[in-house]
This record gives sequence, C-alpha cells and structure tokens, in this order.
Amino acid sequence: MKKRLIIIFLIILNVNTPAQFEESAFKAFGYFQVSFMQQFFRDQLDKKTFSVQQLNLFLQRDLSENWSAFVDFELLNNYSSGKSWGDISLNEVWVKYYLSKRFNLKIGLQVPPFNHLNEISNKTPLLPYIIRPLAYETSFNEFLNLEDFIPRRAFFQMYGFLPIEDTKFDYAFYLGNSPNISTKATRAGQSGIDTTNIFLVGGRVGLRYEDVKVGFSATYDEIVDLKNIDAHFQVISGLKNIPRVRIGTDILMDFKKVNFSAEYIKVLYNAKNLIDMDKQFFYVTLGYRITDELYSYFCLHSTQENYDIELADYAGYSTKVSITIPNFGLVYDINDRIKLKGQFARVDVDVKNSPTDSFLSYYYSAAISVFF
Amino acid sequence: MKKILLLLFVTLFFYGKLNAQVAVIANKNVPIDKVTKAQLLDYYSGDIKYWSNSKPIIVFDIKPKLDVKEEFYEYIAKNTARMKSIWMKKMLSGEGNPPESVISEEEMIRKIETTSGSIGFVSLSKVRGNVKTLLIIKK
Repeated sequence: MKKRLIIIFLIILNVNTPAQFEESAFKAFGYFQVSFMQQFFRDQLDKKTFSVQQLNLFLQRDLSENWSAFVDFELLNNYSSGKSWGDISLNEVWVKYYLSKRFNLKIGLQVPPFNHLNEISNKTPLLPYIIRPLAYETSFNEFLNLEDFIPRRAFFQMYGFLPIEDTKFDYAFYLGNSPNISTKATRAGQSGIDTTNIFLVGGRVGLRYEDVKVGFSATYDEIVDLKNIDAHFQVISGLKNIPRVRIGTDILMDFKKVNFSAEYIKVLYNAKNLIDMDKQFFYVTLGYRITDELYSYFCLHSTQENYDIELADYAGYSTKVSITIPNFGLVYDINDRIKLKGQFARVDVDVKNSPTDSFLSYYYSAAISVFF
Repeated sequence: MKKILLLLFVTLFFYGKLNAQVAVIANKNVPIDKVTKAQLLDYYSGDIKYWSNSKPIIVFDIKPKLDVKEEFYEYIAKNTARMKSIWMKKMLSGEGNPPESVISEEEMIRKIETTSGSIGFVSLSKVRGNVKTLLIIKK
C-alpha cells in the first residue's frame, strides 16, 4: 500500500515539474488612458479637464510549465499622494496552477469572474468607452460605491471549461473576503483584513458557441454593520448581519461587422423589512466596425439604488437614485497599441423627492489609450 | 502565339489559386495529422495549451500584413482585429501571451521544422521541407 502511495505521489510530482521547462522571461508591460472631458451642467459655466484617467502596470512570469505569477498595480485620476489626488491600488497579485483546460487554480488577490465585463472592466485598451458602463467605471469610485454592484476581489478560484463538440461550458467558483474590512479610519486593528468569519462565495457558469457567449453569475456575503458601509443608514441601529446576494447575467454576440453585448445585475439585501437598499444595473451596447481601424457604438447604461427606511418615523429618509446614461462614440486604431477614442454622453440623475439633487448634464470627451 | 498566351494565362490562374490557399503546417512530432477550425481557434487563443501527449503547443504568427495572414485569421476568428483583441485580453488578464511572430513565410517554415510541438500557417505554394500539413484552407 505504501509503495502504491509513493508511486502515485511521484506521478503527481512528475506532472508538476517537467524536466524540459526552460526558465521564462520576466515580463513588464502596461497601459494608460489620458482623457479630455468637457461637462455642460445646468446653467453653470462648462467644466473642462485633462486627466490621466488610469495607469496599470503588470508584472508576469511563468514559473514552470504549470505555474505562473501575475501582479497588477492600478493608479487612477492623476494620482499624486502629495496632492491627495486619485488612488493607487494593488489590483491583482496571484499565482496560477494550470492542470488542463478543465481545471485551473488561482490563489491570491484577483478580480473574480462576474459577468463578461468584470473581467476586462479596468482594461481600457480592450474597451471602446471613455466613460464605461457605470458599475465598472473605476475612476468614479470616489462617489459611487461600485463594489456594491460587482465583486472586485477574491482570493481563491477554481475555473475552466468543458468542451462538448463546438460548445464550451465555462465554470468558475471563488472565495473572498466579506465587505467587513477594517480600514485605517475605523481603527479596528490591522487595516485591509476581514474582521469577521464570513466569506464572499461566488461563481459563474456560461457557455460559448461560435460567436455567442452567455453567462449567469452570483455571489453571497453578509454585511455585519451597515453603518460602516453606508452612511445613509446610520440612523438605524441594531441591524446586523444583513445577507447580500448579487445576481448577474450577460450576453455577447458577434455578427461579422456588428456586435452586441448586454448585462443585468441585481443586488438584493435581506434587511428584515426594516430597510430597502436593493440596487440594479444594466447596460446594452450595439457596435459596428466601419473599417478595420474605425469602430462605432451606441450604449445605454443605468443604475437604480433604493434608500428606503420602512419605519414610519423615518419616512423623510427614504429616497431612490437613478442614473441613466445614453452615449455613443468612435474608436480609431492608430496601430495595434494606440487607440483614439471619442464619446458623447447625456447623464440624467434623478433623485426621488429631491428635485434640487436631480440634474441633467452632457459630457464630450476624447482620449488616447496606449498599451506598452 | 495564341497558344503560348493561353498557356501563360492558365499557369498564372492556377498559380494564383494555389497561392490563395492557406496550408496549416506543424512540426513532424505533433500528435495529430489533421486539425479543425475550432481546434485552431483553441490553439491560437491559448484556450488549449498542450497536445494530447502533454507537450506544449507552440503557435507562430506572421508579423507583416500578408494575404495569407488575413485569410488564416478570417477563417478561424472572422478577422485579424478580433484575434488581436483575444490575445490582448489573455495578456492583460495574465492568462497567456500572444504567439511569437516571424517576419516571412520562409522563416515560418524554418521555425516549424526546428521547433518541437509547433504549428503555423503559410501559402500552400510555399510548403516545403520537413513539416506536416494538417489542413488546407480554400478561399
């Protein structure tokens, strides 16, 4: 029996460390997007601004035939620590084990698969947009809680695909931290770590057939103390351990020069009928490739957030915020690495019971996206 | 004279046809003798990285914008731009790297001959040497 176990162990080791692997090169690469934006807002003077919207730096190395490591740093909005501008973050730091197309294992900080756009949402060279569909626009992090809509971090993932004739069935299952992370501001001990024993649990199943890709995603976690997550609900005390479920579905189709993509996300909170803070998001994009170099699109995206306290004493606190952005744009590929982008967007913010907070504005923007 | 011109025309016509065809070639030691369109997309997109004998699949691309390149990527991925977008997505997600590019069809043949587990494409009229032809793509 011992001999058999040793043989099995040796076979597994042999799979993991092929003798012929040559040490691969260490790769460093990245991309950035520099934009110019002009905003027309009510009767006020228009605003114009240049911005290094985003810079991402990657480090990658194949460690053996089956193992590889990857690091992604992200800097947003003209980042400067001295001026308190923008934000810098460690976006991904992981090691991956590739056994076969059916099974991969990724351990470390990573962006989990949740709908199609989440995987490429911060990769500006892959996107035609300057202002991305709202739930994915990382440069809006400072005023929109994007992480309510989509999971941005996981730490352990199993994934792969199962081919059946020409159809591929994708699957992914992942674990991560709950949203109850200590920060330097809350002074709850070491910052950046989960303060609870709750996991984020999530997954995605999908299928790809020729030029059609569809998927269904879901996550589950719990918010222990709502006051730390959303200031609006500070007036409610005693509301603990609120389960949060995110459900998403996505579709992507290519027909020669035309492509279509759409997503829907619903965020549900089970707050024991005391509050309603459900959220939803959708986007629809129809694109047309005019020439090999020139691409055009029309996109509509919208978010809706409920802030209802369902107690008679707090009727005045209830509101609903909707943001709807129809937009269209053009992308011109100067070459494989440089793209010029132009976009026009109409931003309609509607805050229920608060006409003064509701407004309509228009954005004209242009950007250059560079991969290096 | 008319006969010579006719012969010349017929030769050029068939040479042109032959040149328009794309041959998918591989190193002699790959464990397959033919390949499908879906398999080619799997190999070139990096979805499948190993042959059935567990040896790595090495794919080659041609750098210049040649007709043979356009026709090959049109066959497997609708167009070259879409293929490039797939490679960029893989690279920026840490899931793979774009294929190594060669500068000519002659270099492609030399690389395929000497690189174990490799696969690439050339015009049918250029196929020579010690390589295995897995598929002929007819326009």
